[in-house]
Amino acid sequence: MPSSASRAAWCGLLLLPALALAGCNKKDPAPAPGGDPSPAGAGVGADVTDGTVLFASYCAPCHGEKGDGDGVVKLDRPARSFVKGGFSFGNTPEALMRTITNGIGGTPMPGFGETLTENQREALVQRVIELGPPQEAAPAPGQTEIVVHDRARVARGGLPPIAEGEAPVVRGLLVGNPDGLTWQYNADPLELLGVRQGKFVDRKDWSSRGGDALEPLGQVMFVLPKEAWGWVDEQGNAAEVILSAVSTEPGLKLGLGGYATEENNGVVSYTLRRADGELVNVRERGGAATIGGLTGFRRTMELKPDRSGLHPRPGGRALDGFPGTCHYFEGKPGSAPWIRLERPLGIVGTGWRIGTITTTWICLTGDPQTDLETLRKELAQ
Amino acid sequence: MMCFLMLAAPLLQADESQFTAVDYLTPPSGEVIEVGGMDFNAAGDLFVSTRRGQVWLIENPADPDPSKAVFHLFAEGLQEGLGLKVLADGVYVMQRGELTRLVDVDGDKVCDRFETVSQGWGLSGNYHEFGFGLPVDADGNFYVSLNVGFASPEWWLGVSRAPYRGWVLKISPDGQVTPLACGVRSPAGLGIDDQQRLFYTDNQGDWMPVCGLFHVQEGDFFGHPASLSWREPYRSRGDVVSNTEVPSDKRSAPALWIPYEWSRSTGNVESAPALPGFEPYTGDLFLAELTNGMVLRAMLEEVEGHVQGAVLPWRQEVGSVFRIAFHPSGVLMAGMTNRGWGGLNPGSGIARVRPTGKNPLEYHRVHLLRDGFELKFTAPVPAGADPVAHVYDYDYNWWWDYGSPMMRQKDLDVAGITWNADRTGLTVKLAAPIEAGRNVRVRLDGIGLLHPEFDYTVHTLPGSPEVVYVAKEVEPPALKQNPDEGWLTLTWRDPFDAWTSKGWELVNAELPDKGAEAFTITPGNSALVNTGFPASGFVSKAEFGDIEFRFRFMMPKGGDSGLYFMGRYELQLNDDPWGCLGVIHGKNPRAKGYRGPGEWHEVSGKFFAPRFDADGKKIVNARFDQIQADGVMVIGSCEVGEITAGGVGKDEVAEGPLFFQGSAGRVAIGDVRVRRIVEGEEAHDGGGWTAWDGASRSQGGSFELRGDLNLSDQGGSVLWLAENGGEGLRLVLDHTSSAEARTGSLRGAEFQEGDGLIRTQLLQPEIDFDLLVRVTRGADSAHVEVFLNGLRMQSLHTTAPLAPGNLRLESERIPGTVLKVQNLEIRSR
Repeated sequence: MPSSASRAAWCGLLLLPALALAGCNKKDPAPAPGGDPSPAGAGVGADVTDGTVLFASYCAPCHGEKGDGDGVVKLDRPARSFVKGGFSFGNTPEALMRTITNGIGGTPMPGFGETLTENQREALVQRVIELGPPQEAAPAPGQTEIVVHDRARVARGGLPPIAEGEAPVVRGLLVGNPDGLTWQYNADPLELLGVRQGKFVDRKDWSSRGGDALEPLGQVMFVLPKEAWGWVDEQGNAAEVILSAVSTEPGLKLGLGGYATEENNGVVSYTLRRADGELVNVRERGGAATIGGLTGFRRTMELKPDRSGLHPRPGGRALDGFPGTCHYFEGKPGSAPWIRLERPLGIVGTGWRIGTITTTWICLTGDPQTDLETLRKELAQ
Repeated sequence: MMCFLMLAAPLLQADESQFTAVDYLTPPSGEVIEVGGMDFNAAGDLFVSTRRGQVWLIENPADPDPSKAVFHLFAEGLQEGLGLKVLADGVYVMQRGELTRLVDVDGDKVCDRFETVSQGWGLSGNYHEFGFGLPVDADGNFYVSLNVGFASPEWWLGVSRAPYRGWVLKISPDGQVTPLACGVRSPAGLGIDDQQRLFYTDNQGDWMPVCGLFHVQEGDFFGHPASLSWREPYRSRGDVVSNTEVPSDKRSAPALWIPYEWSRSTGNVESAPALPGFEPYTGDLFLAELTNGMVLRAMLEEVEGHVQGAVLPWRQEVGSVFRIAFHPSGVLMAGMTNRGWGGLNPGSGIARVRPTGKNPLEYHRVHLLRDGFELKFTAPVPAGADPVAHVYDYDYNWWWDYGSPMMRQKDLDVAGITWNADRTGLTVKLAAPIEAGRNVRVRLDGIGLLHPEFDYTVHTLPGSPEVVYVAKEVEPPALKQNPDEGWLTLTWRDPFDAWTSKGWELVNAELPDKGAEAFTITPGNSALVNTGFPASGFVSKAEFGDIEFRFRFMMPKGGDSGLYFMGRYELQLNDDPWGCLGVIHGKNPRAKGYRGPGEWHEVSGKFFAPRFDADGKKIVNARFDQIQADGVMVIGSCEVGEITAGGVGKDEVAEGPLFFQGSAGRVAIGDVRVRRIVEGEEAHDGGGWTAWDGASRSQGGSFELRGDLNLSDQGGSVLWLAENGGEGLRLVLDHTSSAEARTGSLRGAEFQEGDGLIRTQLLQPEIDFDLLVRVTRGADSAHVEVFLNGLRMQSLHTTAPLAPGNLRLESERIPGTVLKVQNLEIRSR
């Protein structure tokens, strides 16, 4: 569990991206604090495909010219050293391409999918691999670490508390996506507890007689406040989860429907059973999100059928002036303050389908005092 | 001559391997397949779920050439799979906490979708809460069985902390759960026979004298009381039913109590189909047996409405068989696992038991008479064979203690043996009527039976419908004093955390060749070994004075180590029967306690630190007392006035660390425990203690705080030592199975990251322990000491002065925690 000292570091880090990355963002060339000498990538045309040149322009400010993590932009948590093989999501060309294209949610690492051509990104992949040590072998079969490569993996098992003061979970569910994010759930009652970034999981229950908790290996990016999620019906009844076999409670019951891999990404299904017996199926997919300089994650929820009238429980502090609905939540230990945006944002895959509602919630780290302005600007464009 | 041989051969005690051949599939390189469930699809492919949460699809599993089997990893990431069933719409797996349907959407032999069928039972987090399965009845209902948890005061005593621990459940295809029967303990296997009767097997322990086979009907209670908490009227009243008092609910008797010599961990049950090689056994129940590593066979009959019968071995020397399944081609597949359960090797993988085509002479039917047995054989017995019957009966004790020996055993006289007309059977008549409520053991020699001995559990007699229990209610033994009280376990959970070491690893170490000078090392967690030989010492971070101790060790040939108490006084550990367990500069062992390379030894004893006068002059030597190895006393009492070289200190002092030598030779150690020795009354400690109720109070200055605590399994509490606005210095009390900071950890911004963190589980849940915390505030730093059971496990200085704050006991940091506190006291210093 992080001590108070490391929590302080987290808060600092998670406030930083909007500012530090401004230097990496084509729309806002304001200099970063800490004296970024030149906006990264400035002056490099689309015709430049030399990985060394591109690396010097786009990567070296944070990762250092030698790729050793010692760049001129000083981050609270230093950028990865490629020399030491410090890859968050594995060092296959495919994994590196994804990281360079999409960035790493919750960290200062931006995505270059819109900034650089595919050829340029491929050149960067090759350069980064050259800078690294000889390729690491994947863990041998039978080793207890589960590694996510190009296809999502799930792990069921007990989980340690996601943050100090939280309870351990006896029925845990981890979904590790190829983008490097791990979605950590309590499967009973079904609840997203938080999002991690980095390696997936060590199956500690493969030792001793069994029953030991799993050890998620990723760093916690977000710990979700209890009041942040949930469902209410038209009457405002909150979903409750009780052991299905023993429950006699009226109202809305929330259960785990299952978990799957679709198009290589993880999907978690919820079942919402209403007092009249109607069953609403909810499918959730998650991924990293970046809006402007703000980073975070998005949850896309598909509700079927659409006549359910179910909608997310309001929570946190409502904030005005957005095309969607925006709620602000205080940070939890191990996490930062964050913002929940609800549809219709019009900037990610939201909209109506026949018989299905698709709702996207985007959670971004940020502080309303500073980051909401940035966000408004981004969304206004 | 030839004719004589043909007649005589069946009369000899035959070897099982003439009739059934056993071979093994080779898993993919590096994979360990700890089988938890097995079934076949329509094509005869084998699906296997494992304790590692994987599901394997194995094509050509029964091909005579085992290398033709093709393994596909169908799914992974599940939380144990201790039951599996293949149905038309998917592969169903019983996980610890979920019944799941696995679907391969695109037909690429990899599961894409896991659908939750039910999570309708509770888990508390106790490691022993296994969930087993997975037979399906004609209506598509699933049957699962749920282990009780294990808890103090004896580690194997069953508890039911969440709904339906200790129950057999029925789960409908749409996930509705019906609690079916309770009173089960460790129900590792289930099965439905060809008459659609549901059976489960249990493992011996508390309230289970031996392993048993139980015919399950709705409403049954099989005798283990812990599960009654979820039955009416206890449930409505919120009663937690005692697990050491005889329950008043009426018991249902098992179909069989299986003799301990044949089964110590029974697995699943399969009704034998009419397949080639198995015809004589069609309809019999085959039982997996893990510890003794065999397959058993049961022949049941219904006597006055009660299902009961005979059991006997069928095929021995297979491996740790946990699951069996009949392949349609006439091969019995046996899935094995033994991690933590200790069974015959091999302890993982898949064995195939294949009839050779040669048929043994076996019992075909066993029918109970009021005064004997009517026996049928699988073939006519040649004339001339002269049967001799040996018969005895016995029963068991039924109590909370672990298992029961055979009790009240007596020989039964045989009055006569009569062949039937075609010599396919005979009747054994006893001199006296058989008593109900007894197990009867019959051995028939002289006619060449492959397995001449069977054991029949008599709960009812023909013509007497009353069920008389074999497991007799007896005066229970006195509840033992808790053997774990006062101990600190220094290598539990994270075995390196309480020690400093270099070159030591946590592994499985074995010495298959007793002459080998190095262990055979495999991944695992049963031994701490100086694999990086020469390695550093394995040195405890805490320092001790007078202690009682326990630890285990094993040597390879030529192994050499030693345990230096206080890092100074060496108890010799080496591969030398007359040197090992001697005290260096003291005495040689007076008896041979060391049994040789490859053997684990459990050593216990006491060590007393030297005493010094007020001027620091030594007045009493250090002393070893009552050192025992596996119960053999090797050192009675031995003073030692000289330090052994190579430890951690050159001067004699009052306290020092434990130090296992790692540089002299190879050694494996494990399970190191210490307990403070308190002799006579404690010296007057100055007094000044006042009672405190744990409520928040402002506290500055230096103070001490003490109490007797008892924290529930999976419980978490916090003792705030200087709280300001929800932050500040605190002591962690945490018995969850997953916590990083365990009981005794100190947390707070005053410490460097990592300082104050205890990852070792020093204390066991639900066992009383003494806590003493001493906070000494200085001008520019503070000193915090934590004593557990009187032993100082933390001594930390903060890097800044400690501001005054609130003292507060937050007993339910984790919901559901039960923290019992007695004699909580505080004093200023």
